Amino acid sequence: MFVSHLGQAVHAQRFDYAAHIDHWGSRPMRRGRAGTELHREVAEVGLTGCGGSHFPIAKKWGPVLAAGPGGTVVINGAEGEPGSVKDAVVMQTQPHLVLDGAMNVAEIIGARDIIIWLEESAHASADSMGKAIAERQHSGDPLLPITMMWAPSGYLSGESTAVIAGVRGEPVAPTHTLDRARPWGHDLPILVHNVETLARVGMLGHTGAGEYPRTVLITLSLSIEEGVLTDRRVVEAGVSDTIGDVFDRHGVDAASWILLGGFAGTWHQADQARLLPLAPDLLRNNGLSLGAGIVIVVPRGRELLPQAAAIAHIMAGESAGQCGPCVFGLPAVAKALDRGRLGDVMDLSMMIKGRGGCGLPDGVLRMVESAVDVLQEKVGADDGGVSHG
Amino acid sequence: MVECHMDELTVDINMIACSGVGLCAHLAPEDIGLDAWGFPILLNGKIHSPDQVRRAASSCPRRALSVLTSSD
Ligand code: SF4
Ligand code: SF4
Repeated sequence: MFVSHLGQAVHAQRFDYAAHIDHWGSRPMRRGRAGTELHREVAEVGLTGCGGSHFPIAKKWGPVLAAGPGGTVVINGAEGEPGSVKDAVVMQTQPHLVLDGAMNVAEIIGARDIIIWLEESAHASADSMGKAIAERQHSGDPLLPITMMWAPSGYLSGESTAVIAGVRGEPVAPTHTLDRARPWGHDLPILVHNVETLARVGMLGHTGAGEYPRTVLITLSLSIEEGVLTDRRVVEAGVSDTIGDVFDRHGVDAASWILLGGFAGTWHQADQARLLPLAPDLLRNNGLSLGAGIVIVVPRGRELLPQAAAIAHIMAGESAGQCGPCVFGLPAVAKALDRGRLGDVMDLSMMIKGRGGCGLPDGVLRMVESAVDVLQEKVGADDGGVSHG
Repeated sequence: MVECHMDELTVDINMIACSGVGLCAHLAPEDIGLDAWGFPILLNGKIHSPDQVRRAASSCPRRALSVLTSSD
């Protein structure tokens, strides 16, 4: 029997290599047929990117495999978003699962080296990953050459085209690519995977598809004030659970609003949000996403609009300053929100949407528009109540 | 260019490279406008005047415009 849940594991102490071997066993090599097998299993369990994209991993490997052997696997540990700390928790408790996953992927695609990409403030994660590399070297288990690289802290620190630029020694900022499936261009592939995604590939290598736990990791923030999150905890839930199940299990009962998916996510009235499923595909059918596994709770008695405005200001400040519609548009949106001019907000949003060099502005606009939507819905419902009363 | 390819053309704007000089909107007024801050915005779902758009693309000082056919 596997006690294999990532969440059970992340609440435990840090697994050093001995504990890791004890719990998971040693990593099966993933060359040749074994690699093909794992590739199939990744598709079978429907593993999607846990950094927010929810893009099918098996598909992401297609163009990399087509490019032939060589290249780099990047362990992307830069969460960027304040609402997400799950990758830090994974690195600090299950570093060897992350390394297993990175090694599995590297063997499948024929990569020659691995890079750990971290925000420069991530000392505890760096320490845990660094120790893990040393522990493996002591035990004589082969690892590809691994380097750590540092990103300036910020929302875009883990954006995949920014990561690729940084790995190449260029400034860490999103770049323009005409071919989204091959963002590394004509050079050797640089395959960027989120930490949790790799931990899951590592786990799948141990459990196989049959025993693989179909769960999601969520960073649950129980309070937000002026866009600053407090009382964050990392929890695990089954893909068949609802938001309400998570709330019940973690004692969330006095919520007014929920921000699902983080600062680029969507607002919901808390009572309605309880019914939402956690399964990425079910959420996607409703046009929703958990993003990097983020649920932010606004406690009862707090207004929605000031929170949305504060986040819009923060995100406008996170812009990499490269694209006009983002540089000029987002501050304008934030100011219109401050003044409660929801019509202007929607007009500006129409003008900016789809025009950023990266997904940041569209994410902010999704958050902002959903705030306007739920507020208007609420006004509509309140009016309805009055007229029928 | 052959006429029948017309409706397969799209324009990619590399907003990271664009400096908002607005030249493109002058050269391809039927397809490219400018937003409130002077950055290009596509006016139509389909390109109305491919010749104008191609000229705008090759004139862009930042090489920020690419004319693509759907097979690209
Ligand atoms: S859209 Fe904004 S955040 Fe993204 S690259 Fe352009 S300026 Fe930077
Ligand atoms: S001509 Fe080029 S740089 Fe100038 S506004 Fe148009 S796309 Fe931007």
